[in-house]
Amino acid sequence: MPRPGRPRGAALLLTALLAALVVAGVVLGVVDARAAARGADEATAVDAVRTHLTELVAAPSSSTARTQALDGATGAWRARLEQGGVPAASSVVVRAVGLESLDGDTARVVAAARLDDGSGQRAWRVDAALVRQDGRWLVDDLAEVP
Amino acid sequence: MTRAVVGRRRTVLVVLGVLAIAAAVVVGQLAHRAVVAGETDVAARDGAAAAAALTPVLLGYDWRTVDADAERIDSVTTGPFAAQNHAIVAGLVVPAAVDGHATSSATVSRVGVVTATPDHVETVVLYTQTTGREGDPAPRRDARSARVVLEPGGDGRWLIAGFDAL
Repeated sequence: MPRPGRPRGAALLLTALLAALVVAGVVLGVVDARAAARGADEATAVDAVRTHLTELVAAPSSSTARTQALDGATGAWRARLEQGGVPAASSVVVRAVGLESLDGDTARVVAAARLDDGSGQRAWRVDAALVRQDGRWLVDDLAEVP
Repeated sequence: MTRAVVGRRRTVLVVLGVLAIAAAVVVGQLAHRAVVAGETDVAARDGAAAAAALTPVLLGYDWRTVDADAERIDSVTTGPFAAQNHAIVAGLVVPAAVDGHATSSATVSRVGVVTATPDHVETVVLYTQTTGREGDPAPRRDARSARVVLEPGGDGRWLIAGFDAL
């Protein structure tokens, strides 16, 4: 003979469990989305510096590279670029780029590269400050680390 | 209670059970990803700190204390790199330091994280290395950079698992 209380109790238990799992899933989904967004932010900021360094060195000999370098810059650094503040070199090999910090819409990146000025190579160590504007990471300041 | 009602309740139970299992699987995967993401953040932070602290140890020696320095260098390396570096230090660095009364020290100025996972962090380290040897008029200072790889050692401390001058 069926006992009506047991199926109803089991259904309630399963419903409560399902509700708890859905809540946990939503919370963890938000956490996961934030972590993924942060990872994407970090990769984009690092790539922005790598690309900017290449465009920067190519800028004196290529109007396209100069336009792209200016497009990837903002603030005081862009103003310096507009006045021609680029390193004198014919080519650059970016050996490594690493993220030092990322906090909201600002990031700090360091890079190790080698510049070729035609007569030889030299190490070029760079510290770049970035800001996010309209969803893009732009170089706000860039300095050679002595 | 009719047979139809009992059948409907059983169907509801089965559907709820299947949904609960599916939700549990998804939650389990999301929880695992959250744990890995958290561990990766901690690894990146601790790995960068270890790169800054251990690079001077790896590159530092003084001919007057070179045996102790070599032991200290061994203590901050791990994995296959530890054996390779030990061979270089014992076979080349120590004899050269003693013969030339040489010293070396390094000061780290910047560290950036290139990639990070919970048990492997790759960094770019900018440092200044100061070297001297008997007969030199003054110590030589060179601005250098290196790719420094870190992994947890046996005791969980982050140790140097790779070092490549850039």
